[in-house]
Amino acid sequence: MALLQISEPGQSPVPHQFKRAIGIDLGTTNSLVAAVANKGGADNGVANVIKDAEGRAILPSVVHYDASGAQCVGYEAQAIAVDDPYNTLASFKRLMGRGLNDVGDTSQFQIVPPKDALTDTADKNDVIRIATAAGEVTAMQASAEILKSLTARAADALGGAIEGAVITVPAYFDDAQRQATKDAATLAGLSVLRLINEPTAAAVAYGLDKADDRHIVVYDLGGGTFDVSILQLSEGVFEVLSTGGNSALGGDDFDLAIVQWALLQANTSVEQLSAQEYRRLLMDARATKESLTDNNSVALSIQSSVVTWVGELSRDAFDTLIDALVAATIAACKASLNDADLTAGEIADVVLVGGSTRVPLVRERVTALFQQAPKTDVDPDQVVALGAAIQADSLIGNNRDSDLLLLDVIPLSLGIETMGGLVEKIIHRNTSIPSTRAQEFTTYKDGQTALAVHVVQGERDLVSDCRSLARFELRGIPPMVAGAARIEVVFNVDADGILDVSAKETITGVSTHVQVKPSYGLDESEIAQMLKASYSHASEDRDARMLAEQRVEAEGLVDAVNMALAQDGNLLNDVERADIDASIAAALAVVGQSDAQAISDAVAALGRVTDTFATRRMDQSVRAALKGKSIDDVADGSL
Amino acid sequence: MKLEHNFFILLGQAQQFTVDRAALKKRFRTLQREYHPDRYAAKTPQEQRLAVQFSAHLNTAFATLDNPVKRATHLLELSGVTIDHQNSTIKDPIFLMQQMETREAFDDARAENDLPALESLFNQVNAQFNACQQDFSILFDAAQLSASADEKNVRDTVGKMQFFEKLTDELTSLIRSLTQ
Repeated sequence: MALLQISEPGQSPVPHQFKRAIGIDLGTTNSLVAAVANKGGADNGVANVIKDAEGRAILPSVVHYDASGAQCVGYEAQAIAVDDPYNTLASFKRLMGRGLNDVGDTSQFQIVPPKDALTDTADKNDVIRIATAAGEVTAMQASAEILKSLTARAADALGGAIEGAVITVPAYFDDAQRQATKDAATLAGLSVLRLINEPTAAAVAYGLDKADDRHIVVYDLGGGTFDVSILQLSEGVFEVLSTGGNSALGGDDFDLAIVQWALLQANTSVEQLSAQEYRRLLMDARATKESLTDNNSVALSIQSSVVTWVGELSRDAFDTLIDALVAATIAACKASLNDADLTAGEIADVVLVGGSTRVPLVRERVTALFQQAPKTDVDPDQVVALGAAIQADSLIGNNRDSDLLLLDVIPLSLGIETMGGLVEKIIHRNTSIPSTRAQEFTTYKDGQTALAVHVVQGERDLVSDCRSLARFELRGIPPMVAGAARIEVVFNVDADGILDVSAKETITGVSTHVQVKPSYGLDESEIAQMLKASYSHASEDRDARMLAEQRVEAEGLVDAVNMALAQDGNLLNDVERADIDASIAAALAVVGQSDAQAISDAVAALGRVTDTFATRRMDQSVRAALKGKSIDDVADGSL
Repeated sequence: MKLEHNFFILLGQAQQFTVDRAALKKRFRTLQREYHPDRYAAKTPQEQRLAVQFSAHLNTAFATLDNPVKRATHLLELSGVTIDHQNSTIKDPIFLMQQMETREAFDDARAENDLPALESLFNQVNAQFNACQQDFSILFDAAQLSASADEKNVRDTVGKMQFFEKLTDELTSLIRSLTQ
């Protein structure tokens, strides 16, 4: 459609340029970044994880804040965690798009600030704020620090600014959690091409999107969480049939099991060890676990001021230690199969994600359940980031031959509250996205001038059983008798699964348009404020960047419109053509100046005036595509 | 933004009740491949917005033509007959009697978790649903609503289809929950 540039294959309007696009796995415990190498290079079109200066692929999802307001992330922050736990945030992904009531027991976090440091202020959209030495911090801001660090790493490796990113989210993330992830990217100054589901990314990394229709299980055992997803692939569409798991079960529990065993063997207890000695033991336990993947028996020791112990842990003994933990993941898999109405035998592929899936007992049990060996060719720590990178490369337009198209569905129904606390579903779960639905409502009292709209998400009939996403009021309805007003509520879900709701009174022509952001998200002014605070540069740098971005956008749009005019100018009458020409001239007049707002206004104006033209071109191309094929295809009844 | 309102034209199908579902799906995928927002992720914001709108429109079009009740309703709408599903009533006394009996049988089987009874009921209702679709296709595809008497008949048939659809949905989810 390419205003909508309709270009023949191999006839790209602008000489093809490689664009720097990345895939980011923003994990609870660890995060990674990956990219597809430029074609023609040594790694010709292959996705690779980008490592830091020390050659490490993983960036622990940990952020430390200090009194000077400075932050550090990753291994550096993790090292400080022992000495300064309250200013070091980990596992903050659990807080994304959540209020305090949702999170419940905050002791599940590895490093949790005391409960009273968490302030839940209703007037600020209920975003959880964590008190640190550097002031109040949200999960979005902490995530933004991780994203910034990974983006900087990628920019160094790829030799320039990053133009777009695909970020992965758990399949069960609802609207608020997805929005919070996008907010974090905005704070990090990162342009998000698309949010995709983690299990889908893992399947893409294995190239399963090119496979025939099938059912796929993604078994994801991370450091602190376990997720299982069952996907259905149907003609290139990935649909998440069911998800399950345990948000407090992961490879860290395997380490703890070894620690408990060692303490018992050494006839000692945690209290006998200093914090440092305990930490040392925990690290040794992890190394022992990893070593047992390739060895039948591994030596382990405790060296402390009060006890010295040296022992040996066999694979069999380790299997016994973690037996119940692994059994719990298998039970969750069975429950998810049930939810998806499938049996283990109907699964075509099993994909393993997360470093803990290297443990032999895990592979053994998974193999037994699904009666097949799971896929293990791709590094389970990297598989999600690699899949995201492949999708990013395709979305940014580097891979023009790519056939990859992920069509997604909405995971939970969206609706609004009606009389009596009941939910009227407007978009049902499993509806393909993007999606637009409009529903008409009316006033129930004479002279009613406002209508409260409460947007909820969930499958239950009662509002109290669903998640509240947003509330807003439509005001300024002209007084009429009850039932006379026609209020149209429109739900728009974009390709990321993020909802936008608007409402207007249609009869009188008096229309009010309201955009809602979900609860637990940030409003625009807050994001602007945080962005301001997050820039260490002088404000001129920020302005310069905004100006540059506006210019690029303006020039891009003018080029696209000119191209479209050259091809299909005949679709316009003289008045329409004059309007567009005037808008192009106006945009070109301001693009060289340094007023970002004026450029932005000119771009918006040009966008408005070319909408109809773009629609006509689209319509023409749809009809042309039909015509071109109709002669042969009508005969045999197919297209 | 004014988009093609006739979903049959949009998805390249003859404007009739009988559709070639394989061709429909193929055409839908071809268009999504072309116009999905993912194809415009790196383009201008205006193009992205238009792609979202058009792609959403395609999703609605496909969901409409793929579902018999929605397809029939859309066909009637294109012929100038609007159906208000919530407020329309079927005035066929024999049909209503039969359906009350079916409902009772359904409630009894549900109360007793009687799986075989539910399954046989499902087969029965599903057969009626299919027959009803056949009726509609004969009425509509042949007559194209020439006479006003047909219109009443066609409306009733859509109402019956909707009734059967709802019941098959309920039966499917109940049978699924019992077999787990």
